[in-house]
Amino acid sequence: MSIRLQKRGDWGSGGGWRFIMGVDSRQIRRASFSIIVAGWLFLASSPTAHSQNEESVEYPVKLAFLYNFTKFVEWPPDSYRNQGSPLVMCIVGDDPFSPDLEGELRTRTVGGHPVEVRTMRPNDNLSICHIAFVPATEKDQAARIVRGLKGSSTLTVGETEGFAALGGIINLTVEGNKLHFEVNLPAAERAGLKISAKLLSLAKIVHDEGPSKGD
Amino acid sequence: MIVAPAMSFRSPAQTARKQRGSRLELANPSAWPLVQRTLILIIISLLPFLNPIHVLAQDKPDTPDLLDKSLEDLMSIEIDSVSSASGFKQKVTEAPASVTIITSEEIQRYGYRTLADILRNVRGFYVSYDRNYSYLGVAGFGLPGQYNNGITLLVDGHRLNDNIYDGNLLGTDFPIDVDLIDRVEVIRGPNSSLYVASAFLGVINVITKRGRDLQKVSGAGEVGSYGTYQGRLSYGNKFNNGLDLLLSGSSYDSRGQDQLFFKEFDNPATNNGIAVNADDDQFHQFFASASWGGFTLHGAFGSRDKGIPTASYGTIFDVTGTHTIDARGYVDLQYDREVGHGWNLANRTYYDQYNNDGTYVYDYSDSGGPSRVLNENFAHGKWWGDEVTLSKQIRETQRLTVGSEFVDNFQQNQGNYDLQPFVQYFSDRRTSNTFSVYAQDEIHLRRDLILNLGLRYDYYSTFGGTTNPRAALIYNPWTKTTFKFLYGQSFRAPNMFELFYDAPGNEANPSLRPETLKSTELVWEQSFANHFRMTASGFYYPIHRLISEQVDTADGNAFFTNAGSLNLRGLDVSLWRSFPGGLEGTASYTFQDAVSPGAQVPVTNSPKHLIQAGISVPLVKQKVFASMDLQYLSKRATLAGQYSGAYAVTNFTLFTRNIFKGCEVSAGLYNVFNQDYADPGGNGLAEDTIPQDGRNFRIKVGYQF
Repeated sequence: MSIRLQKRGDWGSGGGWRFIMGVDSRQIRRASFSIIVAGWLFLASSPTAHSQNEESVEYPVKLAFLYNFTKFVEWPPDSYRNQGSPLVMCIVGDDPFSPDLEGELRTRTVGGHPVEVRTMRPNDNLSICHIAFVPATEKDQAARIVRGLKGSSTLTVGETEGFAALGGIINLTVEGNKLHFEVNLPAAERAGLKISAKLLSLAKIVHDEGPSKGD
Repeated sequence: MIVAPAMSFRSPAQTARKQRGSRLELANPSAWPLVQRTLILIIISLLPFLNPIHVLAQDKPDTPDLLDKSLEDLMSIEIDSVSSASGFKQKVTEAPASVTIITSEEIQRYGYRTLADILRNVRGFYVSYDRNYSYLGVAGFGLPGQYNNGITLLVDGHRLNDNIYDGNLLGTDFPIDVDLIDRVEVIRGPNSSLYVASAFLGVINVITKRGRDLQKVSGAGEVGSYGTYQGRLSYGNKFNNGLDLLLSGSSYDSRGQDQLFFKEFDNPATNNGIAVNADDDQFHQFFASASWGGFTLHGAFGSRDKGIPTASYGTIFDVTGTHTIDARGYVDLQYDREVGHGWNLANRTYYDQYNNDGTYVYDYSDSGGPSRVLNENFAHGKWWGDEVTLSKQIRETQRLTVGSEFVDNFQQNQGNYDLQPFVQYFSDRRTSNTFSVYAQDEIHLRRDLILNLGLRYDYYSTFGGTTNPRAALIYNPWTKTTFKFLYGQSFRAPNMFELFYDAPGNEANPSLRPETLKSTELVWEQSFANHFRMTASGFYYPIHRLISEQVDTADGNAFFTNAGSLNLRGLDVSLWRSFPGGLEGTASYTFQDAVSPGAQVPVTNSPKHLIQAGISVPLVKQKVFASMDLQYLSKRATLAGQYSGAYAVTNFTLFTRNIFKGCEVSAGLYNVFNQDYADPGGNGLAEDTIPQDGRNFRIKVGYQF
């Protein structure tokens, strides 16, 4: 049997490119390489932080987390006007939870206090809230909201990377497709909140960069 | 001059065809024993009725159930979101495709050892093995020897298909340890609008764990039948400065079956059909990922060396030394950021390589040559590419994605030669480029109606350009009901092997055109309660200009050509149910009918009926699980026009975690009932069917330091 060696044909080496574009494929390669290197330099030099959008499929579970947190956090006695006053849970900005879910939550009580769910705007007075949930959609406002709540006993809960580090008290995180949470203990103490050891045992403890930073 | 024998690599050896002779092998009616039939019935009947009181409670809205859960339970709930179907994270029911997700929890509980093990339990999928490579069948399309080029396999979004065969490695040759898999997302149907060419029958996206999912240093060791040992050592952490790092290495060594019997070689000259110690298998793998800020860098390298016991391509039977080495590696750098006005930019730059080196032992003494000559066959590919994706959420009603990708295949070499005396039969060096642009828009027409439109243009330097549209309408009339109407056009580009492989006995065909597919699919997803779901779907996939291998009657050479068409039709239904505490079960049935119009013979390796079932029972809450899975395939036609018999294989795994802190133990018994079964062989094999493993075990211990 004779041995046939394949000759290099017109099909390889970007023959089609040359035909279509009228230029050598090596030039195209060199050009695209330069564009990509330039693109990376542009990207790397840009300071904007990256963030991930979480889709609403996890919100039922997140609302259950919020409800669960109320069982393990003790607010200062003066945060309730009287024995039967509601525990106020505020959703700041766009409400990601379903009305059905919130309706069910409104039927619950925590330590004798009925749960009240309110949607608030970022500029409202949030110090009346026992819990203020800052959804991912409001993350640009998060630092301002946290700063504005300094000195009040509001449990701030966020869901964006770095929320606890900028002074938020609890941050919900997704790890391996499951929800976890971080607790900023100094921030909780500053707010006068007592967080039970049980909750802390499940949390990742983080610290912020200090209360006075940025002031 | 040494006269080369009539050999043909990865092609139908004429000698092989002759050796087949005329045999009659019919479906074995007793292949599905009563025990297994009963097991399937039990699993199916368990699903709806196991806990009727709970069913009623869960028929109410999700809320009370969720609110009453403890924090620990809430932290163990899997958030079903899928990132592959349209490129970004979204709800499974809103994805413009039929999607299945397999989690690391399932991989552990069911004792899956390879990606092939995972995929054979996915609704409508089946895997065959020729004792070298594993081949995935989808929608009744599983031609042996196609090297899985009809699917796109992604690892963390990085495409794994190589640039010579467009193939994917799914068995021990898959370069990533299953322990590192966080989840596998399987997206059925053509996805050409967002993924390259070979997202023809589906996309499989393997998402790996991150450093924070591993707790510092962990390791695993395992022992199995056929002298099999595997070890893994990993380090993972998320540092305070935000750096998430994962490093892992694995090694595997298997002696393989000591004796394998192939009846085609049953004569005294070839050891009565027994191949001794020729089934060995080894691999080494490394994986690393690092992410910081918006940057993610990950890379993998795996090299597997497999002994071939089947005397493929007319090599000598019952020798050691015929083997292939598949080495696959890549580095991928990704960056995501917001660029203002709500636009999100993702860029990915990557470098890939794939080396396939086969050594085949031939006897040339019939033609007066030496009685033992090593023939080397290789495919060496290197490529790099860059992909840019821009996406924007436009108010609440639209999500627009546009992107572009460039791939420079700067090495696509193939060759074939004898080592000593050196004779070069074939040597082919090539390069090629591809360039693509695509757009997809997800439009929320109404609260209950999503329209998803996609369009992609691909330019290949090998054959030119092609444009493919896709449309999906997702209708959500009630909370628990979703209907998806899916239409898509797709193509599979001829690969370098099909275009240019020209070793003796083969002919190149540089004028091949792409295969095309127009698919229509209807999916119904229904949940009855919080943890009880059903999916039913029907599909019709006509494939035109099918690239198939033919024999030139003039000189007996094999070549690829665009010949004929193939119609794939099917229906499937699957149920999934889980209960508090961790009991879960799944069962599915698929009917599929692959017809080649005008052809006299049935389509090879295409079972009409598939049944897959699994059940996992927690024996001690959160600590000990007993799990069982089962696959039934009806008879499949072989290349020689015979049938490989129907079979049902059952696997059983006992898995424990945290009996001792940080320690996981898994004991698996595979093919529990010692079912005797065989898979249809591909071209280049004298065997019409390849016998598979009988009952075997694996014990695995994992420890976190």
